[in-house]
Amino acid sequence: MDWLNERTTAVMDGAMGTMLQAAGLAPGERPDEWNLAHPRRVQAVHEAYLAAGSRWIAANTFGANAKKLAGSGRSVQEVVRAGVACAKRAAQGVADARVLLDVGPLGEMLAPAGTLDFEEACALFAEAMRAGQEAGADGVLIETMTDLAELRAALLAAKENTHLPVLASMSFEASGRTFTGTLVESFAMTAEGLGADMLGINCSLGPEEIEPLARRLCAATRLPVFVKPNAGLPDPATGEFPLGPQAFCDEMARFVPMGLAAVGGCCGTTPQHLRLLAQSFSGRRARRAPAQRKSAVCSAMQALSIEGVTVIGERINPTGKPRLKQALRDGDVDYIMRQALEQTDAGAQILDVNTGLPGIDEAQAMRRAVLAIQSVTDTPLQLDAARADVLEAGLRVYHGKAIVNSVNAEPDSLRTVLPLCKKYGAAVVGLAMDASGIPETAEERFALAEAIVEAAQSYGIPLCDVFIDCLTLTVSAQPAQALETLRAVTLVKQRLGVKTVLGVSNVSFGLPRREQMNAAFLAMAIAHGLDMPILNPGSAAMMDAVAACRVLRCEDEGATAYIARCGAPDETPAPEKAQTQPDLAQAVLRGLEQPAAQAAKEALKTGEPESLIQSVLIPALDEVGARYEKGSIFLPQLLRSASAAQAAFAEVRRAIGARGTQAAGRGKIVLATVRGDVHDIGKNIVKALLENYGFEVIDLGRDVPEQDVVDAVRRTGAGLVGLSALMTTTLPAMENTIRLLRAAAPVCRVVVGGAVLTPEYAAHIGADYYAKDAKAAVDAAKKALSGELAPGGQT
Amino acid sequence: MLRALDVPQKADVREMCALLGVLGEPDAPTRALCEEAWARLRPYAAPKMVSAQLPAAQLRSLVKGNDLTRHLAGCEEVVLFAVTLGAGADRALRRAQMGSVAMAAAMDAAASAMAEGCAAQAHALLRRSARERGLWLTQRFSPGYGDCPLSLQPALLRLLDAPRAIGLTATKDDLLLPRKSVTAICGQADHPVTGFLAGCEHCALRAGCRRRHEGRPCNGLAE
Repeated sequence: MDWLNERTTAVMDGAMGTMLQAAGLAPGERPDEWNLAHPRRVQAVHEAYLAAGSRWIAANTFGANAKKLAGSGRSVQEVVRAGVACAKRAAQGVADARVLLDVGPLGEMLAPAGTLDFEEACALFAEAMRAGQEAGADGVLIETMTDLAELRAALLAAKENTHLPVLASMSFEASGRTFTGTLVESFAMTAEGLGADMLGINCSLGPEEIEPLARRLCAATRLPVFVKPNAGLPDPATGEFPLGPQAFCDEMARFVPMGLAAVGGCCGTTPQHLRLLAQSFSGRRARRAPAQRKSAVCSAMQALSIEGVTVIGERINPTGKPRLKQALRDGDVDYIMRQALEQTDAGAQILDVNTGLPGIDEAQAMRRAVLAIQSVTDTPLQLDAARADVLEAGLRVYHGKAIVNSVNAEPDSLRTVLPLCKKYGAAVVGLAMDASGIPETAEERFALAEAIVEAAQSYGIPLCDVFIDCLTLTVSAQPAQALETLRAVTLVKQRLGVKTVLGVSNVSFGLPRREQMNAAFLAMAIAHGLDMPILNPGSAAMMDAVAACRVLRCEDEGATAYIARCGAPDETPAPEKAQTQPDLAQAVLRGLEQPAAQAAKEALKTGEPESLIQSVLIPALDEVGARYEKGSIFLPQLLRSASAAQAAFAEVRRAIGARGTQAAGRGKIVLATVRGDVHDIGKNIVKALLENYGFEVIDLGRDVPEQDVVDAVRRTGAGLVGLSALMTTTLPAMENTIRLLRAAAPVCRVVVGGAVLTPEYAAHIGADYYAKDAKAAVDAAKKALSGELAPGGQT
Repeated sequence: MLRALDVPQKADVREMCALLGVLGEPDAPTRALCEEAWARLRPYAAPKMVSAQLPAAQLRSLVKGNDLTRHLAGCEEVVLFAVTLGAGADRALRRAQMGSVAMAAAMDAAASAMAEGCAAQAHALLRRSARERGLWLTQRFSPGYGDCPLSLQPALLRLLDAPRAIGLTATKDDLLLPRKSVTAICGQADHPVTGFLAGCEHCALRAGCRRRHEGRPCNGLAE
């Protein structure tokens, strides 16, 4: 980026909106429209800032996107063209002046919090970016962003559609997080990885509050940094900004020693503010020590430095896991999300995600898995796939800095995967093998590792982002290889200076007491230089070994984590309470989760799972349902009983799984909250009740497009669809869904529910059943699927 | 006005039970569930409010339906406000869906009750501020009640600069996001005003509404 000058701090401009208001812009009127309605007044604002000393000016295009311009009668192209033209006219003849296309948020939240699809967001930004480049902007300023997902969409749109330099800025609260929880460090890592040229902080806060955040930003990135603070924090009562030009300038002095690339002002600033600012930053720019390169990954809300033993959870991988395979086939992300949460709770610091299964659309599955997992957990992800298209599907929607697992030394692998890692700013795992397989000696593996590192660097991927996996073989099959792997780890660590990764579970395949072997190998590997073991965090033995190793490597000060993990010393289990434990039926009736699980476990020792469901659980639930109908209990009690039944059911499922055969299901039901609607608590209650009654539920989630419902029914052969909508504005989507279903899957029945629905409307849109509450939905399911109780039975 | 609000430590069990459809006094386990849900959600709630004052004439051009017009009768100015619990609360609720359904439903009710409580807090603050200037505010009236359509939401958010001020947006179907949020319109006058009590005839929820059934309609307003 050739406008940058090491010796000076560039001066950006100040607030546009308030300047236009002073010139007559009405409240609620779109500032961007003035580019066409009052171009001279817009130009005058730019001229005022330029006269005051600003040199990088932002065109009046902050809201110039199709979402924000909807209903204005103006196109993005014409608003952007006019806005850039105003700025360029003002800048004519001013040496070193640069016109930036100003890009602000779209004004709508992206999925999963909202309903705006990521690619749609990219397309909306792309429209403005292309128009800006065509109009002759010198660069792009993406600012006032609070959602890392949206920032990524804008950055990718800029990089994929223009060749312009990109400045990216987010707005933070004093806590160091944005409204959506994005951390300064996550912003830095992610935006730098995606190719931004400069990073900044603007709006929301004044100079004093931004100072510590700017320091953190400077420490987290090697890119040039800029700030555009507000003129202080607004008065809570009047909304006025307290800092006048001199006060603002005095406050901004704190940024002089930081050696920032550029400074400006945001809300509440005027040309007078900028005049004084330009003067005080006219001297020589301070030197800024370059930030250290460190190995780190992140999600939007969590930045993880890789220092010391870092556990990668391996469980989200279909190999050898029938339930996960089924979940992937059904498109049921709930199971995957629960696995993610469980592993995180058990101590995984990064989660490996592998959706490789023949017969499914792997790229689609990876995309859905990444979106789902990051919607419930902040744990950074490692995307595990062999195919570049699958990796790209996941990387595209991962809102953070991921790890790609993996490349190997084969030229094809390097050629197809490394560019993706570079484009999306991901770190990469390199497997020390090639097309000939895994080399026998540590030296040969080292050589391959070296080749991978060189290739990565040739693509611009720094050393700190390459993690080498020296590969674990089965010790019973190849006895000498365990030591060879360990030697390789040491060689790689010492001579290449990279972080090392290793899956440990393979080592014990075929031997008894696998955990014991794995734990020993893990400890040895860590001693030989392993940084990031891939393991099952649900294994107490493995996590115990990790905890012990951390103490031994001085990574656990005072052994506090280790001691906490062990629990209090001399703790004897409390004597069993004298009172009798309730039986399963009682536990469900009274809504007691733990006792229900206990009672189920006991009963399953002697009885068959199916008979437990039929003769105990279902009658108990029926009784609860009847009491609810009568009004002797209400929703909370109904749900507590449902939760107790859920807990009992988990035990039943475990017993069935252990037995190895499938349970005879009561029928499949597809559930969805319709397109545009994100209320799902009602649907989730229905789902819990249906599962308790033995139905198999395929939950498509919220904001589900009509076609996805149809596809799910076709794919699973479900006999019933349940649709939920809670707003009058989303009812049309429900009607459309039913229409499409009738055409594509006429045998399937439909039950609808939601507070705004009436029996009349349900009939009007062609639903088979109307459910006024969750219990009624279950009754409808029983009626609709009554013919499916026994396989091969009459319908 | 732009400021943070508080979520009380004590659970609003009464409001939660009303939202969950509980009649009469909740039994002990229900009460315990509500209190636990409130305590679990509270750390993730970061409520904020933003308000703006405008000449009533400016809003009238946007208003559709009679109920809101009647609500603002006799008022020279309108005070708009919006509150949100924030994106963190939505995220916590999403995570809760992975666990027990009873806790998930209770936390959802807790969040709705918190948002309502914050709307009441904001209203009280604005009322006090108005009294200090010798003015009166009406009750609060939200889009979606009476014959005031949800389609007013985007205009309200723009007038409040809500996305930038408190991170509050609307979808293309006029759903507020983050979910646990409230927008409201009050009339302001130099004499005491209460506003109009919106009736049940046009309300979208009339069919299953328990309150209406029991003869205690909400009238689209809260104290």
